[in-house]
Amino acid sequence: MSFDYERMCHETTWEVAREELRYTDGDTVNIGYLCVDVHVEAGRGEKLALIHEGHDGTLRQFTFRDLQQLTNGWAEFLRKTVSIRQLDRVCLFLDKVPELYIGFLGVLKTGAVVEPLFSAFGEDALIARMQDSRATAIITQKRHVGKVRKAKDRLPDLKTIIVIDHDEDGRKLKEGEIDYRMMDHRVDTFPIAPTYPETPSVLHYTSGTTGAPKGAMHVHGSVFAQYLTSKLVLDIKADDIYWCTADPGWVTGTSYGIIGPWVLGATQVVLDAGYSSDRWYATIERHHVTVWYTAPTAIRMLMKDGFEPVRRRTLTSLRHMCSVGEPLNPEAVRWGYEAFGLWFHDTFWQTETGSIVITNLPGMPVKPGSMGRPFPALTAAVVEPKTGEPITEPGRVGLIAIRPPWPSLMRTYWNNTATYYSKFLNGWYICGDQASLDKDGYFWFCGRDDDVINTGGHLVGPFEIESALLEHPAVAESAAIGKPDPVNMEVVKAFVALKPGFTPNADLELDIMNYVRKKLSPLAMPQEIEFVEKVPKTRSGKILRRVLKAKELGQPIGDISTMDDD
Amino acid sequence: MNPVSKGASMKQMILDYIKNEYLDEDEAEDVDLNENTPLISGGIVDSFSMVSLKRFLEKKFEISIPDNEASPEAFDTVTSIMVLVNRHLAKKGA
Repeated sequence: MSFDYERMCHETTWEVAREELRYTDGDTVNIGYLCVDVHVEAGRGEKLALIHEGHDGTLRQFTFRDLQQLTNGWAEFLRKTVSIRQLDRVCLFLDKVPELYIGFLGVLKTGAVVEPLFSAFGEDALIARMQDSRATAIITQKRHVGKVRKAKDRLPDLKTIIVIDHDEDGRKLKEGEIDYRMMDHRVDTFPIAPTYPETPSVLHYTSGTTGAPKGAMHVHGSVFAQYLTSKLVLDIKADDIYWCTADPGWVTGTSYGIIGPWVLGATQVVLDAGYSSDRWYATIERHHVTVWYTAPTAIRMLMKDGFEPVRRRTLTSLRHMCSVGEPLNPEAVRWGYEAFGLWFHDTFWQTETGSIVITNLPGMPVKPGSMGRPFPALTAAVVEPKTGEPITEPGRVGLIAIRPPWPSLMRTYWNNTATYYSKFLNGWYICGDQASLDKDGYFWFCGRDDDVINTGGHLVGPFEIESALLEHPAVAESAAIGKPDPVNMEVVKAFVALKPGFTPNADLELDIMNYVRKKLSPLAMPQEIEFVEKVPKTRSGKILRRVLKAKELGQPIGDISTMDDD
Repeated sequence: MNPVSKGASMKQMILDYIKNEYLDEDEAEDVDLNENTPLISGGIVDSFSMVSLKRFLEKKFEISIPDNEASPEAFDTVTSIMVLVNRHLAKKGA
């Protein structure tokens, strides 16, 4: 049967998700319950929920019953021992260990808000996010507790640091630190907090062009969108072995690396190891992965290693593949088809949207390089940047816009409602990305509408990088832009003017690179530094990043009448 | 002979750099870092940080490592890094 998009739009509503999850108006809804307890109550407690493979190859497996007891254990501990109250913010600062996935749901069962933090974040990145959220507790591990300790003095609201792998024979924990061994705390029943669709659930920070990172606040009702998109876009079914390669420090890793697939009762694979093409293919082969959700950067890295490593493995279990994070170039889509006999289905969404909004659906003809079409329960358009009026002319570039409301749209930026409201225009939510439509209604990505850098599928704010650079003792002025990169889409390039007495050289360049990496994260580290006499600014002191970017790309610089040329 | 090409000192220099730059103080005490410790696959150095490690090697040993040789496999252990560095040192000396 041929793919009928119009019919799918007619039949797909959020109401379908509510009905299938047996929700009626006025009921409570809790993501933790829907991911775990529902399956146990339906007699699927012994079904495998999580296959976890550590970097040393150690395998750990968890059934839905295990998840129920362990999430209850987390929830009871947080409520009774740590005195976590409803709506408190609890951070997760962990590698991709089982405690991250299970702890995430345990926090949600208490009614507190879970705030995942990328484990490679440095001290400054931690402080910016935790100061803003005023988190009262953080769950971390030995490897990362040092960074938390360094940040603690600047986090007056942080009362408890929970360490999941404290070694009795090792160093002593400090005041305010608690040892918690997840596997020692199995609890059969826990009174799950009576949360409702509008109760806050997950707080994910995302970068903008200016200012500190913004906390996109999501609610328990987002699960309706994550469920329906996981079902219809990722095509996840309960008997699937599903592998999402994203880290739950970022939104893909929670919406589609925890919530969506577990609400559908699928078995998830987690590989807690650094990238290697052979290891990735071995993971698909070893665990018989059927549905794979990964990122263009990873696909391009796999491409670099060619077909030979693919052909060494039996990957016939794969039946559906999707991609997210940045536009998937046509070559990568075609390579995927040649390598696996399947199309990578590109999906587009962002931290703020909470779920996939534009996508290539299973069965839909794939146009390599296109983002696809709006998810059938949504209305999306390309609009004029100034008026928000939809553009219907094929090929004309405008801004990607989605008609609110939908269940997983963020409800606010935490402590920043003014910026939240600035994201809406003429009744549309404006994503901040430019695209055009073709005559068939497919969206084609053109670029960001701001200076935010998309590197390896993650957004990095230039302001954060510039601020960190300025803290380096040799740096007088700084600017950061995204430089096109064949693998990562963009990498950070910094322009630095030095203080008197400092001379540009390779030692200093490396020192500055490592300084930013440790302060913020490896993603934010400039992969290239250009030493300049001064950074171009307007007369009011605003950094003219567009001038630097145009120079970098060899494009016309445009209007520089406001530039300070002193 | 260039002193840095001596295996033992090269190994120690790279190990020291990794310990100082990529491991926290607390972490350094817990990780048994030796020439065969998996760096990339073990999560000690990620693919973005590899760029600064490559830059260090180029600077310290006065070599140039082409991007296509700076693969996760080539950077996965200090032993494999030394193979890469020595190859380029030999080229330079040839």
